[in-house]
Amino acid sequence: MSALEIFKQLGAVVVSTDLLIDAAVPLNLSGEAVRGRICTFLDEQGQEWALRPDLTLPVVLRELKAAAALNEPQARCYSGPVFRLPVAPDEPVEYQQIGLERFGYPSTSADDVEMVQVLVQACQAEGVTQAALSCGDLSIFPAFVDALELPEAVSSALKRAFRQPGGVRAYLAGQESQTQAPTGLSAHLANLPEAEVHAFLTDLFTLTGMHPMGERSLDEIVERLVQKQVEQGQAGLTALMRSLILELLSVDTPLDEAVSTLRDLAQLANTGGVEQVLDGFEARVELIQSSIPEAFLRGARFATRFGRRFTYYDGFVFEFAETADGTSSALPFAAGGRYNSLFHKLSNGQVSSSAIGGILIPHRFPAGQGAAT
Amino acid sequence: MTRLSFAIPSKGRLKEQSEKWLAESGFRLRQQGGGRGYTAALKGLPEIDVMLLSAREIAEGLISGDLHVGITGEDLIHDLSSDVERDVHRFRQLGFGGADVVVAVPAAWFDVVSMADLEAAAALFREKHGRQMRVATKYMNLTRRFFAERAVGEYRIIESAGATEAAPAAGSAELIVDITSTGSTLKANQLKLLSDGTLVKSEAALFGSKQAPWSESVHAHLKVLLSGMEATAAGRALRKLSATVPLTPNLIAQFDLTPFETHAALCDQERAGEVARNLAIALGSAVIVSRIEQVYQPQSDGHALFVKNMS
Repeated sequence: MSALEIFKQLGAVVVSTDLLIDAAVPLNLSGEAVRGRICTFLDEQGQEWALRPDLTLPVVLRELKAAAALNEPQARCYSGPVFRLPVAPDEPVEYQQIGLERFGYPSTSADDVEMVQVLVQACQAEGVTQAALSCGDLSIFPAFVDALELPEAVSSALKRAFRQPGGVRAYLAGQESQTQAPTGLSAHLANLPEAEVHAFLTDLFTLTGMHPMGERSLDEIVERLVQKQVEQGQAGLTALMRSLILELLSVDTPLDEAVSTLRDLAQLANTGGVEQVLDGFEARVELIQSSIPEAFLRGARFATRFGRRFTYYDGFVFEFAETADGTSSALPFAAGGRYNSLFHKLSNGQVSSSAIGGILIPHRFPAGQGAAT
Repeated sequence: MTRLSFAIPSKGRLKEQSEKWLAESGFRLRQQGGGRGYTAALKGLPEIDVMLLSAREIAEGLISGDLHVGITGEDLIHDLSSDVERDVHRFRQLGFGGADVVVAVPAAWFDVVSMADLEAAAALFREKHGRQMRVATKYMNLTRRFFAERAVGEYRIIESAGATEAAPAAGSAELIVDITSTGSTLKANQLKLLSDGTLVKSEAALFGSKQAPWSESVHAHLKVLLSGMEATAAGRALRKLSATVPLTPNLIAQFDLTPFETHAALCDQERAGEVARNLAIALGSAVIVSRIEQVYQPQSDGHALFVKNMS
C-alpha cells in the first residue's frame, strides 16, 4: 500500500490543485522573508504569481472557492510537485509532496497525535523504517507572553517578532538600545493629549506644506504617538521577564524532558496563565510516547523556536528526519502541523475551521529506505 | 584561460574617478571606439581585457565569476551576493563613490524615529488597511536581510528601477530603501532617515572574484595590476627627506626613518614636516621634503592575501 492509499483509506478525497497561486497569498501570510524560497514571476499586467510552495495553501484556497461551508469534518489528500528555491546545495527546486489535510475535526491533543500516527504509517508504507522526531508548539510562546501581563503594545510586538527567525532577540536588543528619552518635537508631542497632538500636527502640516504621503493618514500617526506615550508610562519588560523570554526561546530539549522544562519556566514566571496550554502539551507528549513506534522516536526533541518558516502554522508542528546521532541536521522527509487560523486569514474572517496537515517528501527518504513500492 | 578580465564603471563620476585612479596607479586607459566604446585596453598591458559596464553588471559579473576583477560599489556587492565572503575579495576601498544605503520614510511620520517604531507602525498599518506597507527599493536582498535582523516583518518590497525617492509621493510605496550621499535628494522629497536605519556604508572598491577561473597566467596579470596600485598607495603614504650632508645611523634611529640613500631617508607622510624641521636643526643643513609617486615592492601583499583567502 502506498502513502496516498493510506490517506484515502482514512476517508480523504484525492484532489488536484493549480500549480500557480497569487504570490500575494504566501507573501502576505509569511512576509518577504519567504520570498527567498518561493518561485515568483510577474505577468504583463504586473500581477505577481508564485509556483505553489506547498499544497496546503492551494488546497485551502480550493476549499474556500468551493464555498461548501465546512459544516462537517473533511479530509483531502494529494500527490504532486511543489517548488521551492533550495537552501541546501543539492536540493532540487521542484519536488514531490504527498500530503493529507484535515479540516473541521476537533482541535485536540489526540487529533494532533493522530496526524503523527498517520504520517508514521505513511512513512512505513513507503518503506521508511526509522526516523528522528522533532516537534514544537507555536501556541506556547504567545501563551507565556500573555501570562506575563505586559502592556498590549509590548506583548503584541513580541508575538509578531516570534513569527520571524531571530525576531525576538532583535526586538529585545532594539528595546534595550532605545532607552533614551525623546527630544525636540517628539518630546513636546509626548506630553500633549490626543486632540491637541492632532490639532498641532494639522497646523504644522498646513504651515509647512508637509503631508503624510500615500494611504497612511494623520490619524494613524497620531494614534501611534499616543500609543507611544502610553508605552513610555508603563513598566515594560523587567530583567526577569527578559531572561525568562530568552530562556523559553532557547528551550531545545529531549521530548521526555520538555514538559518539566516548560513547567519549571512557568513556575519561575510565577504565573498560572499557561497551565491550560501546558496541560494540553503534556497530554500530547504522553500520547506521542505511548502510541508512536520506538523506531520513530529515536532522539525525539522539542524546541520552542521550531517550525516557523511558513508562518500559517499556529499550534503543534512536527517533522521526521533521518536518525543519525539524535542531533541530526538532515532535511526532514515528513512534516506536519496545525493551522487553525489559516481559513480565517485567507477568507477575511468569513470562514473558520480547525485544520491540520502532514506531508511526505519522498526524495529525501534516507538512503537504503523508502523504496518499498 | 590566460587573459584577465577587468571591468570598470562605464559612465558618470564613477567612471571618471576610476580612470583617474588607474592613471595614478600607472595604468593609462585607452577606450576603443572613442568615448562610447565598451571595451578598452590598459597601455602596456595587452593581456588584460578591460570592459566598461554598469556598476550593477560588474557586481553581478564578479559574483558569478564572469569577471576576474572589477571596480564597483560595496552596496551592490552586498545586495547581490548571498554570501560576500564566498563570492568576492575586496582588495581595497578607493576613496570615492561614498554613499549610505538607508531606510527613509515620509518626514511627516512624527511617530516613526527608529526601526522599532517602523515595525509598530507597519503592524498598525496592516490592521487598518488590510495590506502590508510597501518598500520601494532596488536593494532587494539587503532590505530583506536588514528588516529581518530588525524583526520588521509586515512589509512588501516593490522593485524600483529608478527615481526610488519619488515613490512615496507618487503613492507607489509607503517608504524606501535607497542610496544617499548627502541626503539632499531625500530632503527634497520630504523624506527623513531613521536613527538606526543605515543598511550599508558603501564606497567604490576594487574587488576580485573568488568564483572566476584563476590560472597561473591570470594571477600573473593580477599581480602587475596590484603592484602598481600598491606602489601608488605606498608612495602616497611616504615622503622623501633629502639633506645636503649624509644622515647618520643615529639620526635615522632617533627620527624612526627608513634609510634610503646616504643623503636621504623615507618618512611617514603625516610626520614629514615636523621631522624635516627637527632634522634640519640637528644637521645644520637644509632638508628637502619631496613627494614619491610610487614605491614598488618585490612582493604584492594584496595578491598574497587574495591567494590565501581563495584557499
